[in-house]
This record gives sequence, structure tokens and C-alpha cells, in this order.
Amino acid sequence: MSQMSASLVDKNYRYWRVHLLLSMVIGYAAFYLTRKSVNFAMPVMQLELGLTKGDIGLLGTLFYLAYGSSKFVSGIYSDKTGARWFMGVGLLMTGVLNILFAFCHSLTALLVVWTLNGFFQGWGWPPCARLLTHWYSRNERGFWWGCWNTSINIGGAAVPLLSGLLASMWGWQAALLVPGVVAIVIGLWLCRQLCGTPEQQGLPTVGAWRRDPLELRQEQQSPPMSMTQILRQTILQNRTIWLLGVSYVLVYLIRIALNDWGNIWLAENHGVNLLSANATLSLFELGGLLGALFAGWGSDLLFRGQRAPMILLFSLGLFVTVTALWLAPVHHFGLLALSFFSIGFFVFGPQMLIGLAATEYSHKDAAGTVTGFLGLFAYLGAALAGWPLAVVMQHYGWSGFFAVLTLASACVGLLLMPMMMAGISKRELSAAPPDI
Amino acid sequence: MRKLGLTLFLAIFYSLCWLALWSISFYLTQNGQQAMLLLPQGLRLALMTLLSRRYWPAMLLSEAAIGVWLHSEQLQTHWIMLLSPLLSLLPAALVQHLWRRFTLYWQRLLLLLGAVAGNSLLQMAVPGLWLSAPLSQTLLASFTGGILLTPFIYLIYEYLKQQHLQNLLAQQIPDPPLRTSLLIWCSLFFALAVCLQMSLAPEVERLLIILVFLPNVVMAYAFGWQGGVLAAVLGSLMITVTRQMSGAFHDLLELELFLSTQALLGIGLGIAISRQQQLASHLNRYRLQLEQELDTRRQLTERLVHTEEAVRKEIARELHDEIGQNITAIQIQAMLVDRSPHGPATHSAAKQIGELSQRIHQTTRQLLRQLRPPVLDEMSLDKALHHLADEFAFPQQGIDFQLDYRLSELPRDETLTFTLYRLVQELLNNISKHAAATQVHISLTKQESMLVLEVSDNGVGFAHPLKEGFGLRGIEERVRALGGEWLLEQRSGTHIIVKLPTDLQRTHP
Repeated sequence: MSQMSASLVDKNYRYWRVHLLLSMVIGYAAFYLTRKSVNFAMPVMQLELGLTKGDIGLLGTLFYLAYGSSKFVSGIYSDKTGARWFMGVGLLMTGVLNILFAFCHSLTALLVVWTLNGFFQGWGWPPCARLLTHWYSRNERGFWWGCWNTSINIGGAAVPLLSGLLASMWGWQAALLVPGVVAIVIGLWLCRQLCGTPEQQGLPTVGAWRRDPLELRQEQQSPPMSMTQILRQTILQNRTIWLLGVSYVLVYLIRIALNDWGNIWLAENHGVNLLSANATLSLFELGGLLGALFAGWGSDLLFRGQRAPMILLFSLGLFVTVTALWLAPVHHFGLLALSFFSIGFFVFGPQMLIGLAATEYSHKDAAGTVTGFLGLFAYLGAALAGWPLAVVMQHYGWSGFFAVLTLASACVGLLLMPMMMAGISKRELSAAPPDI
Repeated sequence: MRKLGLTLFLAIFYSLCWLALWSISFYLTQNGQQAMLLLPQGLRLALMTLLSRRYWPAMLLSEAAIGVWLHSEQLQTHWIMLLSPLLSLLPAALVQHLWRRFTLYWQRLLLLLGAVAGNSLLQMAVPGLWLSAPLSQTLLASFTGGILLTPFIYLIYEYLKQQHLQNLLAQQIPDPPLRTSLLIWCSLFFALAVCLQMSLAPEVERLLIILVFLPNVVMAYAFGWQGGVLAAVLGSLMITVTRQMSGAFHDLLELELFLSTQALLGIGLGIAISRQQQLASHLNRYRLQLEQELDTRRQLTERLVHTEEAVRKEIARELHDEIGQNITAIQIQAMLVDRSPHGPATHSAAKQIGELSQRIHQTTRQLLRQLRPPVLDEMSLDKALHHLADEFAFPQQGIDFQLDYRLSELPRDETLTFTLYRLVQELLNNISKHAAATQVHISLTKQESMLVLEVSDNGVGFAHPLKEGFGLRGIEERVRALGGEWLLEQRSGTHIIVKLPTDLQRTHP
């Protein structure tokens, strides 16, 4: 490793940080493009290929199963090897699989291709988490992570528009082919854009560069270990990670429940037409974009890189807004839309911060792994928002649905209290290597 | 840039929370104006008080925008309501002015309660007069909203601040605003109350009061103001849930009255308990300080006694060894001069030398005896005491004297022996001078690890014990310094009991 002058280090760091963020935002939004493409083509496909509702359900379930487990496995793999091509190749493969999917005609082929797609989708998240923890330091990471998180909302908002347009102009194949081609191109581009950790680039660590005491402490507490040791000591036996995981389940439950059932509730209970209902849901995404940005940046600025206080603030807001949406007394569309916006604002903040906090509470080299581990919790929450919530609604109606959501939002805040109260000493105990 | 961002964040956060609280209040009141007066008041007042004044414009602007929007949507119909945020500025500014002067949690909480009361009076006076609802309704609405939310937000604010400080300084801060046990108990109470509510509510409506008030009292008692505030918020949630489930409190006024009463009870009790805890801790601190000082004093005196004894011993030895021998030498020399055949002048001079040295010799001996009774170096305590009594010649004065010595072994510590001897000497001296007694009884016994000296007579006692026994008081102090006890009774004669620990070393390790 050659010694660089301070100004050169500065220059390199500045270049790479902006460059990496842009690449990751574009790359991850492209992942969304190939992930959700089928949802909008599905109604037409269903007719043309003669698929049943059960087949579609199976397709979705297999996809999420593959996606969730792949996130975990590829997180471990990515952390272990630190390969820079990982994300690009994953994106490339999802593009190829999207194109293949467009030409499949039997159900088995569709299932195999789409499950494989789920597997490669999981390659996007871990490298991003890894880069975000290594290139940005503790007291500013909230802001950068928030910026990166906007790619989820951008992807989520752009996909319906693009797919709808393509499908209406050139048929459903185009809605799969075009994202596929785009993903291949971006994937190839991405392979060249991303790099490894600062150390691999011959730079000092980000904590040393920024002189961030909290970051330096985490670096000290992250000595080189074997992957199984990291997994056991800093993730599976880390109380904080489990607490974060449980609150992640609840946050995802609320997010997915409102995403999936929100427009139905609006249409059924408040007589809103379907177009306005979908527009309201995009307000939800917009609120989320703002919420994630502010949550990340606010936690840097107000609490010096402590995520838990910000999550607590947001979860209080979440509790109030979910209750307000439940009790929203009038059939007033503007008010309901604002409520959705609020919930989006308050739910995406914790959603982002919990993932971020998890990487900061564990070993530095395990960023991808721990986010993958949390992904398991997230999809548990998503699964809870499906069938179990439907059962609740059958028995208790919409008020039961909202009672569950309100309870969940209250529990998010309560769960995080012990984590904050554990304070620094406990965290050091759980994060420090017990090799003495 | 930072400030702009923070202001924007606050504006968004505030407006979203405000709207959500307004929606909940609207559900409770079914009236747009009253809803603005209920819960949003508490949020506004708390944030205005706790945050710096440079955020006030952002808050006022966002609230004005919401007010205009609500009016344009016909969700509230009075333009006068736009004045409401401006009115809250007054109590907020007043409290901020006083804030620094009061540093304790409960004092600040009390200040906030004052602000809530002032704010609700203002709200009643200005927008209230133009609204169709009765004035009492307006007053109660803004008071309820304030008392429910303001202390709670203050609690959260303090909690976050303390967390932040703790992380910054990396050390534990005493008396944290929230504790795990508090949260667990609160949740438990809440869950229990809701369960009971759901199973019992329709039949036993009045039970609700116990169900809500009891946790408030218990939480305030156990956790001080924090418990009171949290219990108040949870209690109001519970009441709202009850209303939702079983339809109690159909009358809004009744509901608000109930909400604010239980909140006031919890918070007031919490403040009182916190205050008591603070006073008690002060008292305890002073007590410990005092105890420590007394202990130091005792140790000092004890060391003084020992030092005094050592110095006396040293001086006595010097006197005895040096001066005594030299005087003897002078006397011998004088004798030699006396016997030599020289004129009468020489004789008289020699005689004078001899007399003078004789006098010095006697004075020195007396001094020696006072400094350190030589009898104790020559004989045991038992015999020395008998010898002492003989010196007073009690039988010759017609006094019946008894000495009851029942110590199996001699005290090891010299200081103790000398103290005992002097004690007896001083007491006998007093008796023979002032008491005019016909019977004197002295006993020396051992009880467990204490030596007990009892001296009693049937005399007239001391007319003014304090003035009379100045020497006694010195001795009393010595006794206490050595860790002993001193008891003086004057009933048909004088009765003095002195207890001294046998092992002096044990009292000052």
C-alpha cells in the first residue's frame, strides 16, 4: 500500500463517496425495476397464459422465500469475499432472467426463472450496506444512507409508471424486456463503477479520515475474525440485533399492511375511486422518501449518529398518525391522503434507521450479513401483513385491522427503550470480542 | 444550511403530528374548533416551551397554513382560531424566562402546569368568546389537551436529552427520566386495566374510576413524577379505549373532566413524591455528613488523650531522671560544704542551698505525681487505688469507705489505667471537699468488654454540677473520647457510673 499525501486522500475520498452513492442509487433502483416488473404485467399474462390466482400466489411466495434467504446467504458471501463485481453481476442476472421470463410459456419454467430472479435480487442489498458502512462514517452516515434509501422510493414510484406505459404500448413482454435490457446495461456499467473498502483502495479507514470517535470505536471493536465467529458473537448472541429485528417485523407489518391493504380500505370504507386510491399510495411513498432523508440526516445532526432516539421520535409520530388514520372521522379525501403521507413519513424513517443501526451495532465487516439477517425479520413482517391480517379482518373488521397496527406501532417504541437504556457499556460488552 | 434543514424538519414533523392529533381530537369532540383546542394545544405549548425561540416562526407558520387549509376545507369554520397559536406564545415566553432559575425536574414540571393553566385561560378569553360552545367547554378542552401532552412531551424531551448526554460523556447519569422497570410496570398496568375493562365494563361502570386512579397513585408513588406523567397518558388512552369499546362518557364535558382529573392526580402526586424524595435525600446527605464529622471529632479527642498521656510520661521521665538526680547531687555537695571547716557565712550559705534544693526536690516530686502518678509504676492498679484511698484518710473523717475491686486481670492499655486512676482520684477529691458524705462506695467490675466503675456516696451532691465539676467535665470528655459512657445521677447522694472499653485499639483501627 503506497503512502498518500493528505490532500490526495481527501480528493480520492470526495470523489469516491459521491461516485459510489450515485452508482448505488441507480443500481438499486434498477433492481426494483426487475423485481416489480412482473406485478404490472401479471393481469395480461394471466389471461394469455391461463394462470390461476393460486399460481400467481405461488409465484410470489417462492419469490419472497428465495429473496429473503438469498439476502442472508449472499450477505455472508459478500462480506467474506468483498467482491466488487457482486452487485453488478446480480443486476445483470436479474436482467437476463427478466428477458427469459418473457419467453417462458410453461408454469414450471416461469416458477424456476422467477425463483432464480428472487435469488439474484438478494445480491443487491448486501454490497450496498457494506459500502455504506465502509465509506461513510458514523456521524454522517444517516444522511448518506437516507439519500441512498430514496432509490427504494424512486424505484417504487418509477416502476408502475414505466411498466404501465410499456405494457399499454407494446404488450406485456415489453414490460419485462425493457427492464431486462436496462438492467443488463446498468449491471455491466455497475461492475466497473463500484470498488471495495477504502483500505483496498489504499486509503485510510473512514473513521481515521473523518476523525470520528464513534466510528473509530466501532473499528477498534471489529478486529478480524472468522465469519462464523462474527455471525455467532456479534449477530446471533447480540441482544440489540434481536430487539431491532423484532421492531423491524412490526415496522414492516405496518408498511406492507398499508401498502397492500390501504387502497382497498380507502375504496371500501371511504368510497374513494381506485385511481385516487393509487395516487394516495404514491403519496405514501413520497412521505417515505422525505421521512427516510430527514430521519437519517436528523439522527446525524441532532443525536450525533445515535439512531435509537430518532427511531423513538418517529415511532411516537407513527403511533399518533396510525391512530389518527384509524379514527379519521370524516370522508374527507384530503385529510386521508395527508394521513397516508404522514404514515409514510413516519414508517420509512424507522425502517431505514433500524437497518442502519443494525450495521452499526455489529461487527464492521458483517454489514451485509446483518442486513440480510434483518431481511429475514422484514419478510416475516411482510408475511404477517398478508394472510394473518386477513384473518383478523374477517373476524373484527377494519377496526381490528387498525387496532393491530396501532398496537404494533406502540410496541415499536416500547421495544426500543431497553436498547437505549442499555447504554454504552452493555453495547461494548456485546460488541467487543470476548477472546480475553 | 443546517438550521434551514432543522427548521424544515421541525415544520414537517410538527405539522404532521399536529394534524394527526387534530384528527384524534376531532373524533373525540366532533367539532373542528374544539379539536384544535384539545390535543394540538399540548403539543404546541410543550414544543414552544422546550425548543429555542428561533423555531417559533416555523411553528407559527406551519400552524397558520394548516388552519387556513382546514378552514378552506370547511373542517373548521372560525377565522378567530388562527389567533390561538399566537396566544400560546405568551405563557411559553414566560416559562422560558423562568426556566433557567428552576433546575429540578419537578419544579420545571410545575412551571409547565402553570403554563398549561395560563394558556387555557387565554384560549377561553379570546377565541372562546367568539365560539358557539360554552366557555367552560373551551377552557376544559385546552386544559385537558395541555395537561395530557405537555408533561409527556417534556418527559420524552428530558429522556432524549439525557440519552444524548450519556452517549456523549459515556457515563451513567443518576436519576434517569425513564427506567425499564417503569415502562414494564406501566405496560402491565395498562394491559391489565384494558382486560378488566373489556370483561367488566358494561356491568360495573363505576369500577373504571378505581381502575384508572389506582395505577396513577401506585405509579406516582413508586416512580415519582415520571411514573405520574406516564400513568396519566396511559390512563387517558385507556379511557378513550373504553369509550370506544363500551360507550361510556358520551358527554364530552364529562370525558374531558375525567381525563384532566386523572392526569392532574397522577402528575400532582408524582411531583409531591419527587419533592419528598429530594428532601429525604438531602436530609440523608446531611445526616451522613454530620455523622462523619462527629466521628472525626471523637477520633481527634481520642488521639489527643493518648498524646497527652505520652507527653506526660515523657516529661515525668525527664524530671525524674535528670532533675531529680542533679538535685540529689546538689544536696550532697551542700552537705559536704556544710561539714568543711570554714566560717559561719559558708555554713549559712550551705544551709540555704540545702533547704532550697530540698524545696525543689519536693516540688518536683509533687509535679511528678500530678503528671503521672508514680504509684502506678510501682504497684498494681488494685494496690494503687487502696493507697489512694488511704491518702484521703476517710476513717479519720468518720466516713465509711468501701472499695470493691473485682477485676481479674489488669487492663493492658496504660492510658486506660491512668484514666481510671485519675477518675477515682478526681471523684474522691470532690467527695472529700464538697459532698459531706458519710458513706462512699467504689466498685470496679468488668461487663463483657467494658470496665465499669461505680462511685456512689450519700452526700449533698453538686449544687451546680456544671460549674462545680469542671475537672469532672474534662474527665467526662476523656471517657467519651475513649469510647466510654458516663452517667451521673443525683438522687439521695451522687451516683456515677463510668463504662470504658477494655480494648482501646478496637475503637480506632
